[in-house]
Amino acid sequence: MEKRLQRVKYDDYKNSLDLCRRVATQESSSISKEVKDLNFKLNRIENNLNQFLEKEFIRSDASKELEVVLKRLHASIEEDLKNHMNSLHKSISVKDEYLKDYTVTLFGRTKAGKSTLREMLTSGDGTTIGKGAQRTTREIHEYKWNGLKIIDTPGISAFEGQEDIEVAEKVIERTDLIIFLVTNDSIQESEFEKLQMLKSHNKPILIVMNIKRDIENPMLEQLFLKKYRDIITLENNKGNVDRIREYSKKYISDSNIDIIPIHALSGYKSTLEENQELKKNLYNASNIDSLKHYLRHKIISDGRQHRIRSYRDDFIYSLYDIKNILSTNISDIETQLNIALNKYHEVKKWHNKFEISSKKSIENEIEKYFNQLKSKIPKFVDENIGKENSEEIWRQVVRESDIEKNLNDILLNINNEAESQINEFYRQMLFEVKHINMEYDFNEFSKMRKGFLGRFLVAIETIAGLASLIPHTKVIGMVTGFATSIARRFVGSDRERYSYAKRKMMDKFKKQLDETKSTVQKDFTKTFNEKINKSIHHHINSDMKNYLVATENFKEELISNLREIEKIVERHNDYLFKKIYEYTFNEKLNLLIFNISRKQGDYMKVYCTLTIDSFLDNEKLNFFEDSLGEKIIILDKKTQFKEALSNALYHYSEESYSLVIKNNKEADIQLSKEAHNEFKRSIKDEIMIFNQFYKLFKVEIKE
Amino acid sequence: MANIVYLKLKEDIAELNKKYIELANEINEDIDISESIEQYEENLKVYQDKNKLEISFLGQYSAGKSSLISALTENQEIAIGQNITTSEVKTYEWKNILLTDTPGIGTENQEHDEMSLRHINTSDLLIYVVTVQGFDDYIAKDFKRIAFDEDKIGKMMLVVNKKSMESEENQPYWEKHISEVIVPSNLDELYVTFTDAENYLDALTFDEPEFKEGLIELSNINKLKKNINIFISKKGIDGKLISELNIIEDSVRSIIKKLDELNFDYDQELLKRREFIMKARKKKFNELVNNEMEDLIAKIDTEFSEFLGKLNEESEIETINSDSDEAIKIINNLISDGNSQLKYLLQEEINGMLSEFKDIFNNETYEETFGFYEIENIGTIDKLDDIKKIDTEKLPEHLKTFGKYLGAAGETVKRFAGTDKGVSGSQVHKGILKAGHTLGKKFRPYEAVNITKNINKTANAASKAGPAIQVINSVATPAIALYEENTKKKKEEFIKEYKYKQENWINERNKSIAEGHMEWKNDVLKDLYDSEIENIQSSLELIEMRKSRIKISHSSLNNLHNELNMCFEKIRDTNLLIED
Repeated sequence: MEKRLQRVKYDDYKNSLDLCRRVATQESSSISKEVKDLNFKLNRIENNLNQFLEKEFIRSDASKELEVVLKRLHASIEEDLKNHMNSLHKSISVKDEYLKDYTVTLFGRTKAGKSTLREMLTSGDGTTIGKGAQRTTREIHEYKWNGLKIIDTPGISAFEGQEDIEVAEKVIERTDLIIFLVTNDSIQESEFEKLQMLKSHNKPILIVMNIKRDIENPMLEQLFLKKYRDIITLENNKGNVDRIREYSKKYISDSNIDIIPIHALSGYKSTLEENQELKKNLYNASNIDSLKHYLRHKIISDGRQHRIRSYRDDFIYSLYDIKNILSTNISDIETQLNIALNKYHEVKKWHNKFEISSKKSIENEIEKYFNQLKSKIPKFVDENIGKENSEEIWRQVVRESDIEKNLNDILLNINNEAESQINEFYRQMLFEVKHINMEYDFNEFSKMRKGFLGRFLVAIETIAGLASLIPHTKVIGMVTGFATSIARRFVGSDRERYSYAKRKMMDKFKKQLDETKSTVQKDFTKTFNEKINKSIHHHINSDMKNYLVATENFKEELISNLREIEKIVERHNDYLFKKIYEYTFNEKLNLLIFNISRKQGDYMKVYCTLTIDSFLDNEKLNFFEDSLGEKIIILDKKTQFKEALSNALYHYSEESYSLVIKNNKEADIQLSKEAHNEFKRSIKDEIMIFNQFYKLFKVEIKE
Repeated sequence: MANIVYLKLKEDIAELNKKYIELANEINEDIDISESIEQYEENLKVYQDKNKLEISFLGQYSAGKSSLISALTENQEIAIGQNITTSEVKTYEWKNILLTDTPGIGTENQEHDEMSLRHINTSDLLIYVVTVQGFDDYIAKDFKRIAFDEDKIGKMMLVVNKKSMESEENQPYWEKHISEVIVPSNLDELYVTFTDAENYLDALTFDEPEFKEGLIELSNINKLKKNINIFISKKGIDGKLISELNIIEDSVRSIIKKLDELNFDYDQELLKRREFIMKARKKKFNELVNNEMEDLIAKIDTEFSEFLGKLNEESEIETINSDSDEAIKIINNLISDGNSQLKYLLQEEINGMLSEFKDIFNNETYEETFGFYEIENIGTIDKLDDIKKIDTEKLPEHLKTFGKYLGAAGETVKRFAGTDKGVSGSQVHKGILKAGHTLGKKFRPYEAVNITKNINKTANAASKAGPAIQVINSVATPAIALYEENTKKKKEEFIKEYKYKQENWINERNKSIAEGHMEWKNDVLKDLYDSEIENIQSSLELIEMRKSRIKISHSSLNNLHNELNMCFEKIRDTNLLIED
């Protein structure tokens, strides 16, 4: 950067500015149309979701609660989208006010020298230059310089509040190029964190380093003017430059960012100086000329590209925002759905076991009591055969066995078991909901982020306590009713036949008792089914399932809408790619692009049918990347498998997956357990495109 | 006067040291905080071993800490740069004082590393260096943390370097700005000095006196030297006292942090889930076994009462014998089946329990909720060795030990038969004696002994058989013997009496069987569930106890922290004056 740039003819520069204006006008009308289309599309998405919900709740008889949750979720998405569209409309109209001028915005922390620079460029009287640490720029100032519109922003730094960030966001919309002003003192990492936010809009960035040095003191001024050629250089500030490069690499993936050193104060002083020689000296020392010519060069080579980016890329940025609104919600639903689904399977599994074991327990218990009764038959028959009051005696025997209470206890026990198990599920779920680690905490949506799980909890909870018991069967009557008749029949029988008859009677008695037993068992099983099991079964297989199915369907619906937005994004990326190419090389690019996957301000992966050499050599690629502001990765049909795959995986952190290349056609990607949901989805999408494009290759994703 | 106050403060600090040591050791019993204690001990040692006054320089990277030391010592070998140049702590000597250069804030790890921290705590005095530009909120936060949160203000001085970046006439504005930032302290307390070390070092390269002297004048380093002298004389002793308190405070804060980080939620939740499973299974298993046992008794009853039902006045003794043989055979089979069934149930239960635990620990929700959580933590932090058994790998092993109960049903038979306890004192023996009595015969003890011997033989031979088999075998023989000795009696009466006695007898037998089974069942329940549930419950109690103890420790630490703060205040207020 140290080489002094050649001077640029003003006419060439002026022509470029005219061309820039023309591009802006074209883009403006095209984008307004696109915004209208997008609005229409979003309305349709709205309607789709609405219709889906109506349909879903007519079709399934899912509870009101779920309806409320999904509708609230829907409303929150709707509101997000609406807000987004509103701000998009606003930003478009603001942008149109700036249609005429290539706009440069100055960002930088407080006291970086923005005001001094402005006073110099506008030949001001210096009144806005701050003294001490006070904030000197509280408002946005705009002025013209060198045929450009310059916007001066309030200083941003780590702890200066949300307000400034909002101002910055607003300003960035109308910016074609960012000048990030730093000083040669204590460059803070936090400044670059802010720069990262600006960079995500994919604006070209120039760093201007204001080298601060007092020249009010005559001796220091004298010393400075003697040595300024050594002082106002990058070499002399190597430590600071290294630090800037380190941070730019870390935060904006640019390790070779352009940096111009200036001395704003001498620039400003030169405007006041009467002595022509000193004036010239001061002006030269300020190095403002370097900045001026840097900008002229930039505008001649990349001005149109910058302007098209300001329109098209800002619009794409909005599309990505919309995409994010949808995918954040999808991801959130997914996380909750997984937990709910797991709990559902647990509940279901328990219920299967519960059903079997309860029935078995009913049978066993009844069997047990009847066996007890049965063991009393021989003695009873032996002692009471033929007696008048045998019926009463048998009734006594039955009563002593406490059968009624014991049988009641069976159902009570079963009910208690169900209740305690369901309470336990509920308790566990509460714990899981409380401790679950939702990934998107920053979103508006996070307010109701535990929504589904909460609702699902209610479903579990309502099962408990539903089964109230009325198990009173007429067991005693059934068990005692027939005993009498048997006993009576043998009154007065003769002795020979007595023993035989007694035997027969006992057998018959037992047989009848067995029959009664099966009746009682059936009766109790039926009671269990109707009073306990039915409601549990219904909750699990109807209510809970409906929750899950409806939520899953809603998620699918969101995904299909997401795909729609993705298509629009793709179209605009395609357009941007070709336009930038056209303006950079002054020729149209006729290229069939299969797909573009992109991270704005970072990289663009272009799947295309032509081979890269046929339209981009290495030198051209560098220019292209510079004009686009992103790394360009071309995936063409002739690329080797491994190369293509590594290109497709560009930018995915290797900590989140491991790659197994089987041969030169096939590979597996194993996603690590810790990998973020968002990451998983993104890499899956990428590989899907890859597989669709390279039909000969096959890459599988494994979780 | 000053000396008396000084001595009093010295005493107070010694007292606080004592309190700290007691408290730290007490807490260390519960939670491993040896790191914090060691830190304290090392710091104390460094502090006590020092025989020269030490001043540490700290602040934002490239604020000019190294340049200042270089200017003061006129040692130009010191590496000075705009980027992070001082990566480790370096100490230089100047006029019998140690000057320590620390890596500044804004480096990779925002918290000072251990060495820097040690010097900040143990140094007698601190010089915080900022630049006129750089005293922004970020740096201010760091300054305030060290000065006020960590109570170093009483031994701190503030130097504002690189003053020539800005016009001199701006200095009042900067002073105003700095006064606002350093509230509740002020410019005087901190001996705020504006310097430009760079100018001083530049001056050394010039021969022209107008530049040389002018730059030295502008650098203000001579003023700094003067201020450092005053600073040392006014605050030197304060600094020593403060350092001693800083060392305690640093450790107290690190212990509090450690306590705050403790989280028992996951341990408790895991324990609760296991407890629930164990209790539910215990209940279920208990029911199953009870059913099985009651069922068996009922079947025996039925069988036996059928046998008795067949008896009437006309029954022949031979028929009684063969009928009783038949009944006993059936009952024996029932008992044998019942025992096998119990074994089977136990086996099934163990398998079921294993698979339930496997299911739970292989479940996704489990992974999601507890996956990141290292169960091993419990062992090391809390010394709750028992909870370690939650480890899924270890679980099956743990449960397998209960497999011994598979043979236990057989064991019960032996115990019941009295092989363990010796023949004559055994339960069986008594039973037989009693049986003899109920039958009204002069029952000779040796006969009873013989009978039990037979039972034992059979029991040993057929260990698969149930508990009651031999006992029932013994019934018929005395019955016949009894009848033979009582032929004179009426047969009807005999049968009636026999039936009555046999009925009582079978009830006794059944009771014994039930008791045997109950004993077996209780052993199983105890070993399979109760001991585990008890473990879980005592672990849960232990956690609760630990939590409340930690709460107490926490408030004790806070109290100590308050006392330290009061002591800091006292030092600041006292303003010990040592005459020059």
